[in-house]
Amino acid sequence: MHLPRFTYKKSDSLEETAQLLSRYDTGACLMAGGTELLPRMKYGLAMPEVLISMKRSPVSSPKIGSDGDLVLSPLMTLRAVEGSSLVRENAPLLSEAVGLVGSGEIRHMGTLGGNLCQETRCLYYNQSHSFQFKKPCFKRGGDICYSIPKGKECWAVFMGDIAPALYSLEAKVKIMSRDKTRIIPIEGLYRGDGKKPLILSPHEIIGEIFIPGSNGLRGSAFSKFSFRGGLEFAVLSVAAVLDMEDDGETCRSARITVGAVAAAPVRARCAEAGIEGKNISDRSLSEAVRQALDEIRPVPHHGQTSGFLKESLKVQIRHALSVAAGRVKKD
Amino acid sequence: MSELDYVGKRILRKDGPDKITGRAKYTMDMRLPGMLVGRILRSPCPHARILNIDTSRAEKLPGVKAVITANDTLGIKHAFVETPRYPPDQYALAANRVRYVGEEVAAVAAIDPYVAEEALHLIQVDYEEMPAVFDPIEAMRQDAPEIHPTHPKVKEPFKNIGGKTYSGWGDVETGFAQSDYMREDRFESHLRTHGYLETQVALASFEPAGKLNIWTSSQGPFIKREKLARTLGLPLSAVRVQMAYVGGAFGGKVDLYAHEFCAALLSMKAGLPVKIAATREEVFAAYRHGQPLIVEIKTGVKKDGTLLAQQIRVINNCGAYRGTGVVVIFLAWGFVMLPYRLPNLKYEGYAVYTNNPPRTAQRGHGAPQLRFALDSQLDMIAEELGMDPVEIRLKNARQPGEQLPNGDNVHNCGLVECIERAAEHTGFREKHLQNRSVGTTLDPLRRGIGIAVSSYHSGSLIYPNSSSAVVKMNDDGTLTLMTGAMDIGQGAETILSQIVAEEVQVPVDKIEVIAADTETTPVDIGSWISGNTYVTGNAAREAASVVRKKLLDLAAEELEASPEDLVLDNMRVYVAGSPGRALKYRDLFTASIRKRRGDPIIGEGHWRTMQDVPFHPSLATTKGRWSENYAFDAQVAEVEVNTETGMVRLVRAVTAHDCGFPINPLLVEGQIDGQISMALGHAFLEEVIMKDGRTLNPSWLDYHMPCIHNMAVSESIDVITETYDVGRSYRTKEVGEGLVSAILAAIANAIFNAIGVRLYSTPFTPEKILRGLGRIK
Repeated sequence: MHLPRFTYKKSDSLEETAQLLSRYDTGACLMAGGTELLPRMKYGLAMPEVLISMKRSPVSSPKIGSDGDLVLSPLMTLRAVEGSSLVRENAPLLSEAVGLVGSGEIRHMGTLGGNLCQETRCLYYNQSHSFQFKKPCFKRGGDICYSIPKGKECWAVFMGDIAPALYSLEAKVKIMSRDKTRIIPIEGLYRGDGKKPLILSPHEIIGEIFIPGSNGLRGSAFSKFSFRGGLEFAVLSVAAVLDMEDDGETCRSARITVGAVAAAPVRARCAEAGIEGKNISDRSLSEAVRQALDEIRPVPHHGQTSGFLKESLKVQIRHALSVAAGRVKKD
Repeated sequence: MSELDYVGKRILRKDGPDKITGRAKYTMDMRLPGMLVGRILRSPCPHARILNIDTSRAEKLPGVKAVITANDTLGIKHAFVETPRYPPDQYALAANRVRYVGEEVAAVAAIDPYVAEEALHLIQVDYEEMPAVFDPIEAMRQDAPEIHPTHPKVKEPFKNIGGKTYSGWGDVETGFAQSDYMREDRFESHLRTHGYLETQVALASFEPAGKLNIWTSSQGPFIKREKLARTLGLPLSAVRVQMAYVGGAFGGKVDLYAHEFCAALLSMKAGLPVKIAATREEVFAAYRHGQPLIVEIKTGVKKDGTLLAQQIRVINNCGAYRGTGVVVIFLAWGFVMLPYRLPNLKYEGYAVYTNNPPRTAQRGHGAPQLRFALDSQLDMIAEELGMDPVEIRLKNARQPGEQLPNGDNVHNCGLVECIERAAEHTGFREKHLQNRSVGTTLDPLRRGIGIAVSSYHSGSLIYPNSSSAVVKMNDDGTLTLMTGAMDIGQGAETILSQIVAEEVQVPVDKIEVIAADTETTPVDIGSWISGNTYVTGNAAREAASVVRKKLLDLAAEELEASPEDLVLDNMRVYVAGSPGRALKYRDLFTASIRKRRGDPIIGEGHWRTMQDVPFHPSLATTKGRWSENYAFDAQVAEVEVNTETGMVRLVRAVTAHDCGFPINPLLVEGQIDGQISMALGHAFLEEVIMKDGRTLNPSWLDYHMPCIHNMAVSESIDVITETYDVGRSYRTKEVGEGLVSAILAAIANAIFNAIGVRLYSTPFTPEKILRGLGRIK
């Protein structure tokens, strides 16, 4: 397979990138590591006239901002995030999640921003369509869904590992365009639409990522369930954060985010609410798992049945919560 | 066994340095001046009439040098099996009708891939869709769409039967009547791909004088030459097929493929070299994979576990053309005949046409599917009878010297020793009992151990399973071996060199191998049906023996000694007891030229798997002699089952195998480890997922081949049953594909031992485990 023809532009800064995006409008695609975009281009799923490479743009090192937030550049490679002691100390959940993305090779190329901005996935969609599934599905501009034939919309699933972790860390992202900048919670980045998962307009780019510091006892865990344990997207993933009262036993606030079950990561809000104010115990965790199963209905994807995904969700949430509880310590 | 210098030694592979340094050139790397890029247009429909193909716009596109459709061909059909009973059923390019998604409809050659791709888009094909069927049971129904007419010799009212084989011996009804215990089970296997890293690729260059040169990534050039010459209407001598390094094959590159035919025809039309390389997606979605089988078994045994009778029906979803579909239902019978003694058998196999891509051989060619079914059921029987899995196997295992129902003999069969040693090495009996007594525990991780056995033939009597080899001495005393055999990564050239080295006493690295070129090397069946070491090896040995004899005769004259008193050692000859009375090979070479009227010391040898017999194996009746060499093995799997996630991990695999004797223990171990890793993928991870004839996961990302961290510990035990003696023919057994089989049933049996869940289909997914445990309703 070969890449379709395109014009190649290099950008030396985020500002220049925003300028270029504005100039080329919908005809342009941004490329950081390229691990997501290039296979899509080879499959004919992305056919930009202009490819704007940000490989030359400077990448600022992780730092703690004046308000105590951990500030990360979206251009950091996943490997750099994985290896950063500042990240490990301030957001161990992110370190854990990043270390499970793809493979070493992919983490050396892929970037934080690229991982957040990846497209939703579906077996019927993520292939070329030269002789298979030629008739376009919703995601390719058509009006059918191969995966769920009775579906009236696209059922592709967001499968990134980083976003669920950032949900549970209550991260924010700075979104930039040539003319304006805004900061939104990470959850605002995703529309929940399989066909068009991101809110970003063609002119916009992620400028920075902010992760609030925790003030108190915290335990966190990221659980990625996959079949071969590497070089693979998650069948489903769970990012759990337990913020504790000073007694170390009562949960002050909990955040449980599940990935790869819908077009965006999903917070298990009822389960979170149910656990808050309670002592962490076998019983309260089991109750949380039960509530999460009530509120989250995994979309069957990648050949897995909803029955299996539901059972796996139960096991993985329970696992993530138990590990998080076991890791509670003063940060 | 006498003292050996090269055979039986852990000698490094001849191709190793080239491959690990990246210097090895594969067909994929080859380029010729003026070379064009060929691409193939494939059917988007599983079943349709082709009403019209308009190539005019593509032909006018600048940069396009040739476009071909069925109209440009001679319309000659071909097939893997071509017999009076099974005439060829497939055109190299679809004519009038397509029967699967991905079938080749047209091809273009252009100056670059972009133009070639664009040209494909400009070809207008009008299809009239026809009803399609994908499931073999549905395809057999009378109201199913007809893909091909049912074979005229099939009497049952089934549709779409591409081939049927029927066999048996004894009387199953009597056997069942005498049985104390009977059971019937049904097992299903799934679709897997081979996973060769070099995708299918061919480079063809047609010379104006009428010669077609073609390099293709294959398992042997001679079968390709025959089929190319016939479908292209060229004399056999006008087609020269050559090899480069092969990036894996595993059974997937034997038969003629459309890209080879199209590259050749496009080159003939364009007058320039044309290379066609399949994309990985094409390999997944349009090329041939292995064969999913349905295996129905009814078995009767005595109280003591002795097998009395089996009635077996195998249904093969063989895809839109016959491919090797009828071979699998034939071989399946052989996998029943061995490794257990069975007095009464009634066997039927059906190859059923469906609108899926055709299928082909895949390492083990049906053995994994059959052994999974047979050895799973044997464990179920043992369980019912309260017998130990090892005991029931020992009770039924074939013994040395047993005559088989088809007239073959197992000769020095080491099966009993394999079972005993595998069981002993793993502490099987204790662990098996212990795992079962664990009962309910809070620990979600449960251990299990399982055993199974298998047997595989090594070289068989199908045309032209013969080999010949030429060994010639060079002026400096080194050797050149010319063989039609093909090293596809299994180490053929190393093994053959070791044998020649042993016979002539020239070190392996002083032997140059010229291989697999239809023009310059003698005929060889190719690297499939596991006959390479035995058949080609003996041919090379014979050729080397001729050289040895010439050297000894000449040296006897020169040194004035008797040939019996001479010793060959490291490219020189000396008189036993007087190492000073010696001649170097290079001096003997000169002497031979001088004294033997120019004889440059060339030896020729040939071999066939066994003496020809009046009854060849018959695909229809499965009667007839088959092989003189059956390899045997017992494999033990230890697994760890996570009862919460349903994930199973193969912790340890132990293979006790009778391969006769290892010519190169290093390569034997490599083959065993490779087969364990392949079986591990088969058992747990790999599946080509299809829906209505279309492939859902045509990429390495979504087709889960195991990674290095998924590998299990693999240990092996050699059970030596044969010997190698210089100057004598030897009998050794295969080790390259039979060992993907038993381990599959061993894993299934180990899972049962761990959690009491019996699996009737592959792969052993977490979902099946959780359903078995009742965690998913």
